[in-house]
Amino acid sequence: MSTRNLIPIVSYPKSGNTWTRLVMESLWQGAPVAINAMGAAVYGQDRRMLFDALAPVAASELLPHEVAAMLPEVLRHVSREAEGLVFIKSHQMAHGTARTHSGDGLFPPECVRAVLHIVRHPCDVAPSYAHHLGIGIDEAIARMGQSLATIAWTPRRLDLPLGETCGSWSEHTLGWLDTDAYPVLTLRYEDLLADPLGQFARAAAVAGIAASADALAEAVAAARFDRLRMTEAEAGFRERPRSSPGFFRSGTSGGGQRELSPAQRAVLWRDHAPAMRRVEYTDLDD
Amino acid sequence: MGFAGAVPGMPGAMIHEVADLPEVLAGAVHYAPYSQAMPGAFQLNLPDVARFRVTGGMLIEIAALPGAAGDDIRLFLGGAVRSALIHQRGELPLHASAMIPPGGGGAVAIAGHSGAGKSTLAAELSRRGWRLVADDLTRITVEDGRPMAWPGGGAIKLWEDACAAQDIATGALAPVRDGMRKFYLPCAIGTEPVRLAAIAVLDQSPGPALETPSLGEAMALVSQNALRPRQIAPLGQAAAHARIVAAVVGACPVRRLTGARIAPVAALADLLEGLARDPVQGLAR
Repeated sequence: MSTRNLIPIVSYPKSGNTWTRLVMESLWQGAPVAINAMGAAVYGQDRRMLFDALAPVAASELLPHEVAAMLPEVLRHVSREAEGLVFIKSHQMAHGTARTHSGDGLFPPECVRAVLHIVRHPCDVAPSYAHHLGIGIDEAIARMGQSLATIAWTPRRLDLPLGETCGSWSEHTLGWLDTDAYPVLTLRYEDLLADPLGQFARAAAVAGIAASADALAEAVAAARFDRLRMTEAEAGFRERPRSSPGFFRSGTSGGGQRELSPAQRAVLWRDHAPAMRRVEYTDLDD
Repeated sequence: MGFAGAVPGMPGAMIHEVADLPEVLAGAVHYAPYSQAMPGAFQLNLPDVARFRVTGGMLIEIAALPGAAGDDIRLFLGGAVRSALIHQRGELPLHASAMIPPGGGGAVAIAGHSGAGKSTLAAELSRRGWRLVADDLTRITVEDGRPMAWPGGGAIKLWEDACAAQDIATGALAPVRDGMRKFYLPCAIGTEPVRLAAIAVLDQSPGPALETPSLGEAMALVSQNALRPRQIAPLGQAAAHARIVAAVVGACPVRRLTGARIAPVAALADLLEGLARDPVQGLAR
């Protein structure tokens, strides 16, 4: 049965994608889901395994654009086989440029119910991304400014996660704000933190999940940042990359602005001001 | 386009090039993208490349589409088409590289998913004097109760970083495909089917160690490492697949090789040398 059951959760890295997915999965399941019991969301290594099981040739035999050309057909198949909603984690930039390795869109539009687009202030993304990759903040800032930047598409080796083109922070943000290929709900990480019940209620509504106020409160409480970090400390988190000392780091807004030097903030504003203004981000001095 | 003829390494099977194939395989199910299957028949329709039909475990028909490149057709012949042919024959397309130790005495199959380190380990063993039976896909048959590994290709496919880690210069190596920094590493090959002495399934849990799974786990491990397991049911081969898995596990020790991707390749290779010396125990260090 062809139905609109795919819910891509798209974001630049370290912008609240996992938190959003956890709350949404809990709402969908009707009970809180533990971080290590969360579905793999067709992301990373899971996407490769799925591709290799379904596509006519293994991804390791194909060039990035060939994998990209077949992925929509693989996702159509996932949509057809699924019993209910399928949440898909993605850092892929919206389509629209010829070199993104995403062809005419990674997600087949006729299968997508809605896209949840999460945006976080780049001054908070930068230190979190540096921590995640085990690199310096300046290097993370440079990566955020890199046009058509890729994740895990290394031509010289086989990365287990299937690669994505996340683009620069601006390309990613503007692309998803402006796409008309899908119904997109853009949510700011800062607003999710300030008003989780209100914002996740909006997300549930576009996903078509009828969640009671109690269920919403329970899902949000179970996914509170300090609880996630405690669970990671006790039991680990299977999605943490080896480069990262801890997946759940600060979970706050505004911390990065104070962690960065004025020069580092200036680089982010120089690179991303138009996109930052579009989502109404301000500088410390504003 | 030069594909017609016998299927290498598969006695009796033939490839025919045909002008056209119907789009629909009547009575089949669309079990995966581009793919249709029913008992005895399989079809893959790849836009801009070709339609492939595989029948009775004996015949591959190819109808190339206008403008298709021979290399693309070859690529897909080695993927779902080849595994469908093997499943149709009631044989086992094992996702494994198979090697024969210097002293002979049967092949060791190193199984695992993409990126688990099969080819890297095969290259290390090649350096230690082992001969290659097949890289990445090893066709397993059972003859008079004995599992046999069939030769396929004469080279190991290795990514550039794996070459670098083993001090292999890539300058003179042929790339697997244009634009891909993955190379054919030529190595000594065996050309005859050889008795399968053991299967080591790569496992990314901490190690390295060789662990002996229970019989049930061993059956599951072998079955999970069959290529394209989703073809099996629509091809009507579930019972045949269960039979060959049981026959292989009954005749050949299966071990879990932990530490894949984590432990040094040399340490993993040492364990496989121990396994080759004593497949039944397989615990020599």
